Amino acid sequence: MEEICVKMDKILLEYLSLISALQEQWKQISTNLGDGFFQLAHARYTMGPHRLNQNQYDGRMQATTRMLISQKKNTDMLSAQSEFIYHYTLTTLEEITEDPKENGSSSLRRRIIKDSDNDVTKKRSQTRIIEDPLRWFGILVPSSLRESQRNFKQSLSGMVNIINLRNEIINKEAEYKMLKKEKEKFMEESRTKHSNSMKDS
Amino acid sequence: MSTISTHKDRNFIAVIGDEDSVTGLLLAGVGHVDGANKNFLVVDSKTPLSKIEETFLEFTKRKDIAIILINQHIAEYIRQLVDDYDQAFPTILEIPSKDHPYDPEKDSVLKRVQRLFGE
Repeated sequence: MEEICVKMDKILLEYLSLISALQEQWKQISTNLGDGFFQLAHARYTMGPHRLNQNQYDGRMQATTRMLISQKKNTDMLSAQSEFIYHYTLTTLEEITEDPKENGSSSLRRRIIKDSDNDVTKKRSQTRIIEDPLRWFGILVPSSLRESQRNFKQSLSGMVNIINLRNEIINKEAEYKMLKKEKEKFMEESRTKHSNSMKDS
Repeated sequence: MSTISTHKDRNFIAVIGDEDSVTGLLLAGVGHVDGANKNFLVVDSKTPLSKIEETFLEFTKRKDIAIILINQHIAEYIRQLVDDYDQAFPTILEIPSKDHPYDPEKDSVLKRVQRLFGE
């Protein structure tokens, strides 16, 4: 009994610290996004409203920022329902092209492995096709647009952190609920035992 | 349990948002166009609700999307769909927009916390 209570306290403390980390992260994202929107508005002001809108998006764009979902085995075997924890990692295409040997899932990486002899040329042609989204809006873009891009990149990595934190929180919650049930069962048992002994005496 | 292929092939981040949010996130490099398939939707005052619903459902069914980012105020339009969604992949994250800052009251995780302690 004592043991369960100690475990529950420990999980609850971890749970609360995860929540406070989540709130901190949201604060950070809000600041980054706010700055990003501000810089975007400034860029629109300097460039004119018609040069910075959705009609300027490149219709052949390729994602340079991608996700990698990895599976981590849950070390706490308490909660049977969540055997695995999924971890989200942000990858950029530069990273992907640099280490083609690593087990990955991008189509680009697979293509490089297939024809490894003309690896370099492939890489070069790929970089030509996948251009920085900043270029959609012109060659000489204002620094505010660059700054905005930086802010949005930071917010994006914050969002991925939020998703990971959220997964951990849900996992901890399941563990806590399970322990709570165990504790209730234990208490129920001891209560019936107690009443039985009272009857006997 | 999901097999390896169900999560390993999910590389893209999809966005449903207003023009500024989508532009910003595309600047960060998430945009991907493959033929007629786009992984983003710009929602403005003229976008019909059916289009948002359709796109949301399409993104949830695609096998190459890991995360769907949706502006919180747009998620409000299709609240029922978002709340009923219970697949492991893709994950949905509601994000603030320029005119609608982050509201902890509407955060799904914090709602869960309240429920846990409110019991």
